[in-house]
Amino acid sequence: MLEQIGDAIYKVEEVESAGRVVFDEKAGGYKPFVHVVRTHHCFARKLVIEGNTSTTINTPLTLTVRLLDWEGNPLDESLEARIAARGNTVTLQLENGVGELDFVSPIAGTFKIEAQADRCDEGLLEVVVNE
Amino acid sequence: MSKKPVLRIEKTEIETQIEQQKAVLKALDEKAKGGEITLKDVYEQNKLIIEMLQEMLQEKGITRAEKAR
Repeated sequence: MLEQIGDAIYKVEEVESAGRVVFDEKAGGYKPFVHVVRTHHCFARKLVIEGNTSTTINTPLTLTVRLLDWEGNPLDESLEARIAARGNTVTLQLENGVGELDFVSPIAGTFKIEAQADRCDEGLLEVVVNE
Repeated sequence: MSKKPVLRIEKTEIETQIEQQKAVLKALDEKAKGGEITLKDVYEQNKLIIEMLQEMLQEKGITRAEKAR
């Protein structure tokens, strides 16, 4: 089961404690003690990067960054995201949950583009730059 | 409306160096095709190829060492 607490989604599991018991008044007997364990599943918001996954050297590739909830529904919020690839970073202001940027590379290769914001799952896109 | 930011990949020092080496080799190749290549050019060409091979081997060695760690 998943449960939202604040801006994070937690996986909730009931785990029987080994050796520990608790008296069940209704049943009139002892039963295993059960812990409720919550583990971080994801943040309630995530960033996704959309766009073509290939381009050529020095040709700008327009990418769209969207803010979604953890189930993939668009969010109408504004926030500042950091977009990075191979140590190069730009700041992108998302208005109403959307922002656009251009990606340019003077060299060929495969580049991982990451979109990050505080308390938000990051978005990833791999772009191939051909000669 | 705000200006669209540009995420630009910067060339590393090694990438710039490789590009320059490739350009020199290409120019020497054109010279050779035109029949104007000199002994000094051949020496320069060989020196560059050896340098590039050494860099490639060094790079591969580092990658293998990183993987082994």
